Amino acid sequence: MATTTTETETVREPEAGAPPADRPRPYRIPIDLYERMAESGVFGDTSPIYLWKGQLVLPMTKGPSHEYALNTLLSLLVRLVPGGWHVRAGSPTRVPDDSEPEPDLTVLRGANRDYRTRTADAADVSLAVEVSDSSLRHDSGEKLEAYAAASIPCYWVVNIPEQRVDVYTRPTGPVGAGGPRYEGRQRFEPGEDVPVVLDGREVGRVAAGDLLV
Amino acid sequence: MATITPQIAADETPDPAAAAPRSGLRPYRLTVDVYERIAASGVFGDKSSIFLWKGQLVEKVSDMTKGRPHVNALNDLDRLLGDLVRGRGYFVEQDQPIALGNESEPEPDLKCVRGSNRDYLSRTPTAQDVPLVVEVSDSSLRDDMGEMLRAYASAMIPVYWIVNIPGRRIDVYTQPSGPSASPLYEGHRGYGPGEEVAVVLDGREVGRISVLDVIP
Repeated sequence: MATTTTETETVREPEAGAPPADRPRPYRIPIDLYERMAESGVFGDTSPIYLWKGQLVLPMTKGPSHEYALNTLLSLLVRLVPGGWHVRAGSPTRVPDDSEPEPDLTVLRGANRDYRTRTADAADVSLAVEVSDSSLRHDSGEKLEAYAAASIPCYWVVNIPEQRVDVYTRPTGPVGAGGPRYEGRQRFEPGEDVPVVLDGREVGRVAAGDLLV
Repeated sequence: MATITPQIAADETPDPAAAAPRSGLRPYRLTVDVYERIAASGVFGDKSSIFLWKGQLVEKVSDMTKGRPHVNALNDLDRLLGDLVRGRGYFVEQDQPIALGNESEPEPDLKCVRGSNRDYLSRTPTAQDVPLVVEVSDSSLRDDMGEMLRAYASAMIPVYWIVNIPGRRIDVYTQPSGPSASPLYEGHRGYGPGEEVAVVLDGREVGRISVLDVIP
């Protein structure tokens, strides 16, 4: 009954390879749960949170050159894109692997009203565009890989730091040898025109120099 | 479009439990307030193992399903502690949230809370309300470096017990360091079969519990 003043037993050595006794494991948020959370307004209406691989993330802050390029391209695409597609800016797009980014621009198949009651997913996208400044590493890396895995046919990175437009085509889909990627890669510098190709059809051209300051 | 500034905890330590933020992405850190709104909306359904940890949603890792010795230890301790604190200004509860700082809300196996449960009808107990936290462990490791232990020490939970079922002992941690680069409990003592553990709440001993009554 009396307590001693020293420890009563020696500590056993940790078992080799045993996992830590208590370590919380990240919970991967599924897309459906994320959408319910967003719709319920728990994040507040003004927060640009989105879902990336099951985690809640914030985009990098956007500077004037980003906004300039985005708005220029938006007005150009709206003029070029014919019936059968429509253009959206910053619209949530479901992508496999528990992700729902909001690409700067997407050209979706169909009309705006076709998406009245549902969120677009990668299969609806003919062209995705990211205007990249501080986010270039992610947009040219993990995001590019995810869009290729999702078979988004054409992906542009308006590459502000390197002053060019990177155009990616021919996605391998999820099972490309050596990982999902785009097999077609082209670079357009100021002075060159970037063809706007939607599902194999060229609908017009955009001068790269119009987007880059 | 206005943005929400991510909350940074004053005692922020590296959080290996959180998924590594992807390159070029800033993790959105959930606060206790937002997390509680989410939980209250019922979107988690019956996934009771999810809780908030350092601004991220995490799941309690269980090495194995809880065996009878674990469940018995919890229930026996619940009853024994309850008997000691009844009428003395505390209550005991199992598996309920405690808000640690602004970004964590774990659910320890057992805790003593100051006051009565009605005091918490509209708010979650914080570290300041909790003089004792108890976790029951099925692992034979003496997990002094455990992440939960560090978080409780940082939050100044005065006393933390780990009931070690396979080791047949209760490890009692006292004198939390408070926020620091390596938070810890300065005092530690293990109690084995045949010994009694003093139950000390807010510096006052309210009684003793025999180890054998918890781990036969």
